[in-house]
Amino acid sequence: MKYLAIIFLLFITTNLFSQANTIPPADIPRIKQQAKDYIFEFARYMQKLGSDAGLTPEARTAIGDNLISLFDEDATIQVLNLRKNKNTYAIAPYIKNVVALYTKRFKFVIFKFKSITYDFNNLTPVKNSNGEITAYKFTYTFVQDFCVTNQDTDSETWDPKKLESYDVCEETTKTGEIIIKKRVSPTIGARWVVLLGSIQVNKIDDLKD
Amino acid sequence: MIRKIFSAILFLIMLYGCDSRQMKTAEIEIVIFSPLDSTNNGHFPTPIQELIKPLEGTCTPKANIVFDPIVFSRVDINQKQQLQYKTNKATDYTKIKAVERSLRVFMEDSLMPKFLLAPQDINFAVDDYINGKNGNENYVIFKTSDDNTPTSALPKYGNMTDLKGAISKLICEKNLSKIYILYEPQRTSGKNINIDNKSKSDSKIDTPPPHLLANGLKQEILDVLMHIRDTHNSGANRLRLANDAMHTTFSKDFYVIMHNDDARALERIWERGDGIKYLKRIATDDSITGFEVLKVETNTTDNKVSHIEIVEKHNK
Repeated sequence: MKYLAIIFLLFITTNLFSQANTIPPADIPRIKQQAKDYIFEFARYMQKLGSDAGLTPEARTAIGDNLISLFDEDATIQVLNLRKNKNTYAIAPYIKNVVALYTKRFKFVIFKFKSITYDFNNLTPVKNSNGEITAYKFTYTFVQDFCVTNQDTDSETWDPKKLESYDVCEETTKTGEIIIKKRVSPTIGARWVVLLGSIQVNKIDDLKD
Repeated sequence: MIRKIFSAILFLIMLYGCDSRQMKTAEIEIVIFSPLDSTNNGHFPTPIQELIKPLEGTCTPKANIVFDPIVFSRVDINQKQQLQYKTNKATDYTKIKAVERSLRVFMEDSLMPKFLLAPQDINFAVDDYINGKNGNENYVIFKTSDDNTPTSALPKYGNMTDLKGAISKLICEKNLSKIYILYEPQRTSGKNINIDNKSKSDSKIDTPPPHLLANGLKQEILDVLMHIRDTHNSGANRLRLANDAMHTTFSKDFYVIMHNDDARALERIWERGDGIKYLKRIATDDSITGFEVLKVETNTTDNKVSHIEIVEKHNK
């Protein structure tokens, strides 16, 4: 009888916990909108870092800080190196490196999202080792143009509209995660937050071929 | 035809020529000797509203004079406090109409802070104050009563035109960059009166309705944010404005709740102490078109803004 009572109590507690970790249906459309806003902000800032030569170091750092704040702290990003090998980096050091690198190495960068598809219908619960739901995630797939002109390119003949002006120009298809987590804000208490998660490379087409 | 074109050009030169006057700035400190009159629905008394307006076309050659910053202080209360309004914080300095508009919002929409209405602790005569100073060339006395007692060596001005004439003379002819306006009390007329505890507790102070105070602040915060996001300014200048605002307007623990375009997305929060990151964000984001300020909270200790809740609008 005692064991039955313990099992019953455990059942109730687990049930209550999972209810507390269920996203209210009314929040789902707002979460989707937040995800879209974050993806656009990510693209906007990457583009600005690459193409706005007038950015001061302080402005670049501010943009980098804001970019990092869009991502989950555990997020990683997969990128291709010049030998077309896939490398995976933690997001914060990657963005900090991009902030410094874009200025030193590239004269102009195109970072343009050509299309985005959201897989909003497959909201997947993420569970910890105890089987408790700690987060939810869904994915989005985007096609991006990434073209760069190196700093040493002759500026007199360089034309941003001409493909041959770019040293590298690729169309990349990538899949990213959207993470929805409950976080406790010191100011307004527990709430659901949306964060960008890890990004994987699916396919690369060299536009210069 | 040529005559018409010539007339049009002449008209344009006259129109724009008027606005190309030299702009001078000077700090003014309005030193107050007794609680300000709160009968104007808690707003600043009309003479003060008039006093802080820019002076147009004074000096030789003609120049406009903008007061910046405008400081209010009281000498008759134990707890020393000041209210400082930075004219250039929320406006385009070069356009006198913009300065006037910003001041109007500050004066007409804002209610006076409590320390300007607080009961008097010490009775201080204007002349005693003047006599205690080493030099008095940048002091002007503005009397609000009919008292004509000759007192200090300084003339007293009871008429706004005369007062403004005296101020512009100090700025234009003596090139003074700071002017003290001694706002003479209405009741004491230079005679010391001890205020006992009873009269202190009997002095009734109208508490400004919070929504009116909030409306004035909302407009001020909107001006600050719009200035920082203004893409006509250089990126470096926008960041400088963000850093300046952290010193003048926002407290160190300032935090932000932001709703994106009509709250269709979840709110985003920059927690206590991270407010500066939000200001830097709007200084580096060119897609923001405007804001709606929903809520502003200030610290009671330094009157600085500790929290804002806003809607951010973007290019679609």
